[in-house]
Amino acid sequence: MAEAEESPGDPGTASPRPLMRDLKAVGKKFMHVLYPRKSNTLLRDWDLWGPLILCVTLALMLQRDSVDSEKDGGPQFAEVFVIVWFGAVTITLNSKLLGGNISFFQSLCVLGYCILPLTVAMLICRLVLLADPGPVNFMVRLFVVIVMFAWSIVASTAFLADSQPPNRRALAVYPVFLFYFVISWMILTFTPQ
Amino acid sequence: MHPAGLAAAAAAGTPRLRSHCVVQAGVQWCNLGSLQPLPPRLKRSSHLGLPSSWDHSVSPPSSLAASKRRIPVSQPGMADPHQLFDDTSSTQSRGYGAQRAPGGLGYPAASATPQAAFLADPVSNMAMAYGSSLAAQGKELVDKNIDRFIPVTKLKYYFAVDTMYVGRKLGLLFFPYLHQDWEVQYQQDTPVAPRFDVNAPDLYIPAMAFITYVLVAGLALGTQDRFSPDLLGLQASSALAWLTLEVVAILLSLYLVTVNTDLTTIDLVAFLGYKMIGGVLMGLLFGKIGYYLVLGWCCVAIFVFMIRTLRLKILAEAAAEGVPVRGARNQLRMYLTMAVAAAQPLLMYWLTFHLVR
Repeated sequence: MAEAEESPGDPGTASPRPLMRDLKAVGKKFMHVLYPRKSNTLLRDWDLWGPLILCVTLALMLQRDSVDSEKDGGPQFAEVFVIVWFGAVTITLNSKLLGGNISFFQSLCVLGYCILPLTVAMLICRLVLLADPGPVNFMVRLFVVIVMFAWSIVASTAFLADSQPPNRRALAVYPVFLFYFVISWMILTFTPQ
Repeated sequence: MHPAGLAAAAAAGTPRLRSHCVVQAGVQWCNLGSLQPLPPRLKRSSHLGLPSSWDHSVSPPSSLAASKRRIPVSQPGMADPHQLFDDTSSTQSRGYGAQRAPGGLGYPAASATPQAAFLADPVSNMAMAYGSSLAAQGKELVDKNIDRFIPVTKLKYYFAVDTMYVGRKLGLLFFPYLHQDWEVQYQQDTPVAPRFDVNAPDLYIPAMAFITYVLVAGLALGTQDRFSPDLLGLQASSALAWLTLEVVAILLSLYLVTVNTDLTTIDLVAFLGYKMIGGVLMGLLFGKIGYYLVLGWCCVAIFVFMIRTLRLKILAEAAAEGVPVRGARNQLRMYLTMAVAAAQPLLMYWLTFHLVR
């Protein structure tokens, strides 16, 4: 995933990539997700670092606090990871089988990056949960999660919808909707112990 | 490396480091795939050749298939060579830095993007070309072998759907009583793609229905406080196991009854997968009364649907003429059809009753 930058006509030497450049690329894509507009950056320079960071953050925040309590809290770290990555792979396969002209890793990249709003929602929910539990608490969290869920869908549709012909867009967007719905559900039902 | 190739590539003047085409022996061959063993400095290998093989779409009229192999020769005002690949999913739709050596070959007439600086080093160019040729061969090998295990091109037929088809098919699944013509249209010996005929089986609806069913089951269990994420896996695997069992049983009985039918395995999977739609709907309901009402409706609907669809496949000759079925062989086939159709409601109930408390 690192982009090798070397002087032309000089085979075999690769200058070490500065970390900042990678981080900047990831950050730039984050901005593109937060303010979705017609842009090809996510598609052109795809990378999977961003999705990995987001997935790990989400999984860390979602995992249940104590190992003993099986039913309370939330899923294990590995479960979130598996759900996110298998969901993304399934959506990509579906999109490809439907005949979309987006590549495998591009699709993974877009789906991964568009988890950003939901990660933000998770952060907010965690903060809100520090207050007293109650119906108001739940309503606030519900509202935040719904808004971020809509944001994720809009962001990913802005990138993915163009890859399908118009009579099949809804079919390609539906599994994306399911995917983010599952993640939102996990976020909403999270209760810290 | 053919000297003509180098010359051709050197023809244009922009200092881009991307070779798109190799001219060898007067033939321009361009790599549509992207599986390359890149020389050490190219760290990023392109994605699997696997997806790109799916782009060589066999299925019906899709202009996408044609457009994928064509790249706009040179786009005026296009400063960014990345733009060239935006529309394809097979190759370097990923961007490369301006200084980077090319990841692979591209499309014809790509003398639009030569690499003057790159060509300053003919050895690396040669290595690139050789590497790309190896990659192309490797990709072909992978595609050929993958096609042996997973019939990718056949699968694409079942996904050649569109939104209208899905809507009509869902309507048919819930209300099959008024539909008259259940025969799949053919076009020169091959069945027409699902998007042109609502009677053709597809795999999009069963696949999506299955996934939705698993999620809805998780939801239903969640509202009853019986949820844990491993239950999702449990639901998915048990439903999958039942479906597999059903497919195997039906294939076996079709074999034993020696039915001459053009019902392929994937067709069968598609037809049997349609009942998951009912499963979705029933999982969504809370409350016993609502559940049993919807169950009743879905059971009858799917029974009628299966009978009418399978009748044409299994009882082909008799059904086509519309004559009543006679004779021991035909009777056996009719019983088989009824048995398959009757198994659907039973399985629907089995897969969903534990979701309602």
